[in-house]
Amino acid sequence: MRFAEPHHSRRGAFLFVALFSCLQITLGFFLINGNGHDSVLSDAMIHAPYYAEAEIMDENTFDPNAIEPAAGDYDVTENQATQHPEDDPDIITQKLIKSLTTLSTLDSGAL
Amino acid sequence: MSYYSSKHPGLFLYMALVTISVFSFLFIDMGSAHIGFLAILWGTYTALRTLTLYEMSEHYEAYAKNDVVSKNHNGQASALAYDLMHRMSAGRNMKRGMLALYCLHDRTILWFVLALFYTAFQLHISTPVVSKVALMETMCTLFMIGAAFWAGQSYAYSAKISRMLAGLFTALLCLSLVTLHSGLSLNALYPALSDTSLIDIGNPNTILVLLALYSTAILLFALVQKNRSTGNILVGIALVVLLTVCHIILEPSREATALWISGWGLFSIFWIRAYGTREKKYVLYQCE
Repeated sequence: MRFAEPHHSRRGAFLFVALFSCLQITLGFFLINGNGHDSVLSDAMIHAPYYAEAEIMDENTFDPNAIEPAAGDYDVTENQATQHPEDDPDIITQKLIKSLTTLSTLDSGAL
Repeated sequence: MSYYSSKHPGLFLYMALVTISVFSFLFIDMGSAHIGFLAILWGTYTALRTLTLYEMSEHYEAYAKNDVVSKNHNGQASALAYDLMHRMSAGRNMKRGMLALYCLHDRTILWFVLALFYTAFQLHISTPVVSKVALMETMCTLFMIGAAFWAGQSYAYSAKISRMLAGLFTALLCLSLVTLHSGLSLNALYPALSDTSLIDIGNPNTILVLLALYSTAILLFALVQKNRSTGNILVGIALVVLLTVCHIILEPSREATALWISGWGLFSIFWIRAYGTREKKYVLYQCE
């Protein structure tokens, strides 16, 4: 079997295939970089915390009784002080006295 | 990848790419990044192959007419002989490259235009319901199939290479069919053909059937002409029918993509060799 030699190939055909390959490479890069994520899904994921916060902070619509902790859940109101010990005034006073004592000791040593 | 220095530049790279792609789609749980990586490999290979053919197309005549001994070997004693040998081997390679330009024939470009219509139409239909990632994956896989089909044509001028490629593609096609045998049920073919949905222009399978009909018409046109390879034409038509039926039956999946890559790659050999004329060999016998 033999083929007759083609006389000339068109440059348009080369351009067609070159564009085809460039588009393929571009799509491949998009897929690897993850730029092809579904925009609807990602927007929803980004805005979900914002909407939740706005709903809670809105005084007109926020109802604290609507959120009832189940049995065994952590009670936020009772244990708030123990959860954040830095807010206790006694502890703050003790820390202040301790730091002042340390400063006076350093000054006396330096003198 | 140049016909100056190689007989079939990029052939083994092409075979490796086809094998890797088919095995990846068959046996690996492919994610978006994997498909993107494969698309980059295929796109780079297609660009390199295009540059090779472009180089040969633009410089073949100047190369063939240039009969000056190269300056690099002017000072050597064997300059003329070496240069002649080099030019003869390179000339044979360039001749092969000229035959490879058949992959840029008008009928092939028209096939790709139809395939692009199919891709665009399928994307247009599935855009509202499918995510952007899925659309890009679909485009990448369709482009891979097109690249396998086009590059296979650019090597199929050689009988030896054709046999090698046909063996590889047949093995991969059989492997894909064996893997997909559970999804290949003829029961799904009857409803697809009987509800006349293929006549509806809103069905993307309609354009695919048009593509198959166009391929068959091109092969039948070759059959009408004299001195063409009948066997290649008939096998090509049978392969088109098989691929079309499989496409209608099968749901889009990774395994189905492997089937398309191997199937259309195998079809590319018969597509290009259908237009090769049978050679009559005349042998001179010298009587003593």
